[in-house]
Amino acid sequence: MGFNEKIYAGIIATTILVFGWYLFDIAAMAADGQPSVADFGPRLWLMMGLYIVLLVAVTIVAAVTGKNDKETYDERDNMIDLKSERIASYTQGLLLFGLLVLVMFEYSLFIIAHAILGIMVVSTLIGFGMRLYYYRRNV
Amino acid sequence: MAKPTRITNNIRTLRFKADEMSQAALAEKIGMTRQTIIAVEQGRYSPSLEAAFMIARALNVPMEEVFQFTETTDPTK
Repeated sequence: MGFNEKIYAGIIATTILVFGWYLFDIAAMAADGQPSVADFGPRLWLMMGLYIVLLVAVTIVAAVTGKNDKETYDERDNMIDLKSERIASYTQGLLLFGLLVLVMFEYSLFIIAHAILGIMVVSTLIGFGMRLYYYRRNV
Repeated sequence: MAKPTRITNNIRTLRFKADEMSQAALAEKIGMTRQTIIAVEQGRYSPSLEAAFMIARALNVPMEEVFQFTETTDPTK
């Protein structure tokens, strides 16, 4: 596994772990009634902080374990980035269209804000998942 | 599934003729990753014209000796 693949796998795992925990926690909170900003605010900050710390840790681990990889970023990496981002953008566009439905049915700002967060998480996962897929398939 | 390209190549053979040059050595010589060289060798990725020239130069052979274009009867394929 090359340096890029390690980074992408790490980002996917971190994203699933941190946002999964947060969204699961928030969903449980929302089931008991509409939580206020004071209820979920600290969790949101904790999640953001944890995500940044884990991403830095992933980068350090990948750099240390792959220090012998004489790899650079070349035209194929660029092509894989573009292809993956295109798929992630399509997904994001489609999901944002779904968000309009939530707005039309006048869902609360809490639901809409977390739906936006969810859309960002899903498109990030798809973007990096596709990168990993292309690298693994040796495209 | 990735669509195979119509460009074939002899990089593997030419590497061995060039003092058994490794994929990593070739990659380093032309400033690309080893994964890209593997993908090109397997015909899964067609390099840019510039990269193709650099590969040929690194192997000390003319470009047409490295890459060949497979003809088909149907020009749309």
